[in-house]
Amino acid sequence: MVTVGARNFLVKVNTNAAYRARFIKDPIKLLASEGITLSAEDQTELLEVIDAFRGSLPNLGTLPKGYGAVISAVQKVPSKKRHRRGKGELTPMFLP
Amino acid sequence: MQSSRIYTDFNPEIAWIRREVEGLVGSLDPSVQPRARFYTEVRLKVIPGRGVTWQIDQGMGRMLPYVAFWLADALGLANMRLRRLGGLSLVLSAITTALRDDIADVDSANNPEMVRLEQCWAGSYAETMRELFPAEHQFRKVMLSAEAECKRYERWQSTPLPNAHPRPFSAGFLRESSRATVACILPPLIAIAYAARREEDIPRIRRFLWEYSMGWRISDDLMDWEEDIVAKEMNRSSVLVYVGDWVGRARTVDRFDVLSCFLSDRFAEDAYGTIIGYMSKARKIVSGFGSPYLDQFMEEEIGFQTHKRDLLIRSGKLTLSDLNEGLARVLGPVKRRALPPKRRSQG
Repeated sequence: MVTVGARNFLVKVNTNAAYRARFIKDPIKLLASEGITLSAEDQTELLEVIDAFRGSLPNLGTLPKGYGAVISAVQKVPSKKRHRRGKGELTPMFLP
Repeated sequence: MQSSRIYTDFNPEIAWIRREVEGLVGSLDPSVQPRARFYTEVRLKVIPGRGVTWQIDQGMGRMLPYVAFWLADALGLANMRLRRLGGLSLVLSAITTALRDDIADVDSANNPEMVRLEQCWAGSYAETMRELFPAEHQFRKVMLSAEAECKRYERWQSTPLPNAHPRPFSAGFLRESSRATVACILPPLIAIAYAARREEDIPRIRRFLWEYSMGWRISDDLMDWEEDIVAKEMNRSSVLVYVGDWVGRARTVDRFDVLSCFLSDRFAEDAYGTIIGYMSKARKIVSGFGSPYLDQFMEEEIGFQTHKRDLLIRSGKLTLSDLNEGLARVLGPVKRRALPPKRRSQG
């Protein structure tokens, strides 16, 4: 099995739409296919990240309903995990 | 903008059209009136309906039926009744086209009510159009040509796309997919040119409408993709064909394939760049009329699409940045755990 580093994986997620789509649909499976295995705790956290990501994907179908306002309303709030892990991550939250 | 003078200057004409359409609905057989109201109040937003809230982006331009009034003004058509008939014929044409589209999407044998309704609106449309033409032969020629274009579009829509890259943002694809739109809008505009005795302007009107419609096709597909994705042959949506081509699965794209593509700058540039390109050509063509209404409409449309493109790119970057932060948090330890091949072989 070919293992790629997390950095290479991130590059593909950022630049390859088809690869990114596969990742959104089943992140654990895709990571496993790349030789990246996660602990149960990290898998849970990854799924939380992906859930948040799915919810924040720009959808042009809803663009006519105040898209600009949604973007300007993005809030950066500290997450509990940030404090636990101490890495300074910020979690996005879209206001209704 | 919806409050722009290019719209508000024609409020009396809009009120007149609404009364006419309400009258037509009221004159229909009671059995088809509920469906007629659906088309006029919900589907096409001609008449404000009770309990129906319209979600319309205030920045989005509304060509119908205003283009009839803008063109009549540009061509010096002073007769108010003919101007209003031009606007009304556009509305009737749009309702007829919407019904025709829906009938094509369902089994029409099981929907005789829809077929009857379409025939009623088509009859009113033809009757209104006939009043605009100085001669019967001109009317016939225009209507027959539009009918032939509709049939050509229906043939294209029912023929399976080739598996090889159809290039959905190309002029060839967009011309085919815009044919029904042009067939819907062009006849009333030609009628206005005849009514104004300005037949020499018909080629310019035709070119303007084609360029505008080809850009608008993508814009419409961007807004309707969630309905199109579950439709037969994905409704020939240029956006979904593009996504399918990109992810390498011509006819089986799903929601996340589409949303994933929306995050790419390349998609935003391709889609909106094409829209803006066609609308810029339309603006150039229509500027020949020297109409402040048409000029402003095109300026606002191009500005709106440019704004949407920039918003999508900004939003995509922001969303990916948030994802990267989340992934770095999760995958950080993986870097330490997963040994590079060299070290593994040494061990």
